[in-house]
Amino acid sequence: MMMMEESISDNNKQQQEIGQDNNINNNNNRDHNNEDENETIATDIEDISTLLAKIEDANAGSRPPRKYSEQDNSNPEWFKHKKHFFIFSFSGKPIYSRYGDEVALNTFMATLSAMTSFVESQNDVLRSLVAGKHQFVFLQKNPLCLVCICNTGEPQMMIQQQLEYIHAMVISVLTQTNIKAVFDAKYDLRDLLGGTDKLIDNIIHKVNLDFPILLNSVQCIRLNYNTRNSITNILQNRKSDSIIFSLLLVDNKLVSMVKQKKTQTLKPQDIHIILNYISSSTIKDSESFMPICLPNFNDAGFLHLYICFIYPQVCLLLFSNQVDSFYQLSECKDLIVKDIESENLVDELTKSANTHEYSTSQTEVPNLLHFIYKNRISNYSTHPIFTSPYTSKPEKKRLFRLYQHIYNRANNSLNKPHKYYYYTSQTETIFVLINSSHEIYATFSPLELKKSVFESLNILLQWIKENENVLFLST
Amino acid sequence: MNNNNKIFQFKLVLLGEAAVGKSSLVLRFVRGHFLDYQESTIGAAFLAQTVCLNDTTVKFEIWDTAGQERYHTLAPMYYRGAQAAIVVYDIRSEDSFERAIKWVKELQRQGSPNIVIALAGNKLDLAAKRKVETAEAQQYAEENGLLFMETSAKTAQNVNELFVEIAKKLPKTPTTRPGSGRLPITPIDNNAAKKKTCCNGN
Repeated sequence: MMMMEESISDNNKQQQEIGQDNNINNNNNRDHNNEDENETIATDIEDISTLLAKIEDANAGSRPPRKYSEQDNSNPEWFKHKKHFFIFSFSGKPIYSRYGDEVALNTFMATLSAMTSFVESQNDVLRSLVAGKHQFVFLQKNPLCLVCICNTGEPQMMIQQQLEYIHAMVISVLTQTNIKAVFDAKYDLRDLLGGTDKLIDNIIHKVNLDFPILLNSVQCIRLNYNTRNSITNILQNRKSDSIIFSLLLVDNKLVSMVKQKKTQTLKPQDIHIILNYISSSTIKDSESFMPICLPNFNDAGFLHLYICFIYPQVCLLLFSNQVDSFYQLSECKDLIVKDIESENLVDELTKSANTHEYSTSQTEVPNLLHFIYKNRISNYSTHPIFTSPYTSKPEKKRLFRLYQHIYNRANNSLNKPHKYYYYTSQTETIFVLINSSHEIYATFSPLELKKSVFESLNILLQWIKENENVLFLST
Repeated sequence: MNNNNKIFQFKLVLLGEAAVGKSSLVLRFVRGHFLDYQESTIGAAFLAQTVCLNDTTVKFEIWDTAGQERYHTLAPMYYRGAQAAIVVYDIRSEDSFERAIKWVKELQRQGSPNIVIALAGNKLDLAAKRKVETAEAQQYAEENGLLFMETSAKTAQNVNELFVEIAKKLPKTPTTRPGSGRLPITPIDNNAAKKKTCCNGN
């Protein structure tokens, strides 16, 4: 019902739509620009291809060519992408584009920037606008402006949340304080953000399919309670002066997380930023040490993150507040490894990378097709793997998008979220239950009777309760 | 594990512009493999590898640093206390050679007094697109007392040789653990970020 996934067949039409927005903003310059662009497409393409050749030259043998990097807004193919993301500075300087080279898209981003400035000059903030099948969603975080243009039919609130994650990713590289300072000094932020395109590409990929991010939560690996407990104890015992947080991941999911100092706990968004760094890096056979800013923890400064894959798929993370603590952290890692080995936990840990996933059939809940669950107190979440009928990529995507809409409707009421939300379409029935301690979105076949849906949901809640200490970290 | 068995341990740091092949050189030397598309290093990576000379064994503790400007302020932490450094440039890029010269100067000014510096012109397999002449780099290296080699992490040409040459040149005196005597260093701050940025906006 809400899926409008067809790609735009008529590019002219879309050009026109964008033109209409310009008219709304009553900016004649921009219309003029559009005309110019149409006339000079041929020369543009030439210029850009030489430019791209240069870029390719500089990068050959070092980095994979970015997908679609040859495209820009003079290329009809570029308009066919369903979901564009742009980052530019308040002065209109391009910083990032998901598709195409941001330099070649200079004029396009300047147009977006002019839109925000125009609304700002009316003492207002541009949050979104709709043009035909496309929506433009803006997130302004001084001095950065992030924009998503898409025809995916996603709720605006969800796109806003995605933009927040992307913004957090950028902050994590430089800190908000540094970004402000660099911008105020009128320097080009891209110089300092070098090499981070991949990180941003990856986080965009994730916000489009990750259930934990959708629920603003963290997924723990499903693991035997005693094993997890032992790991937590080891992490707790092996601390050094400078360590603030110790985390152990398997398959990029949380096994244990220990706060070593009296401080705030890590927010789900910060944890996803960290996970994104780990999954984006290819060096799995060395120890790494890097400065990282966790925007929700402190957006003005860096923590120093020690990363080591102690076994395949098993990654130890130690956060320190001291820049010169590497050797200390490395020694700490040796002790942790020693403890894990002396307690014979290695097999269990490495094995869990392949066995932690589960399907709805393991819950033994009748007629259950899929579910997502979040503990609202701990912010941990769980969900089964996709099983029939959600086996093809489009079907998976459709269910994800459906959850987005349901989540939006169930949580979007101005006061409190709805306690219950019941949705039926031709393809599925989704029942939502939200209370102060948890929220659950359970999917059944469309033919299911309400009564049996209620019963099944209760069985499912019972199953989650029984498996709580296997599915989640204890809090 | 000290000099009794004639095992010497040295701290070695790699410096150079982004995407010149620092990580690729290290991976070729330590793991013996090469990735066509090596991701950008974030922060720094730490690896160890030993080199056997005739009568001694040299263990390198290698710091592979990220080349991006934003990490420049962290570099002193890695080259401080280092007995050896490899400054890498891409033979196809004059800019990267210029940057390498700056690194050499910084090391001569602020590095350990007896640091062994090697200059490596990487990506020799792409010599067809060469922009930095061998003679030019050779001359610079001689004038400044640097080891010099042109290398290819891709074909492995001169990679081991480079590390062996460094190992030979290092003084074989009893050493303390690399990294000892490091001083605390302030993290990236605003001023540093400002200083290190160039204003070549387009």
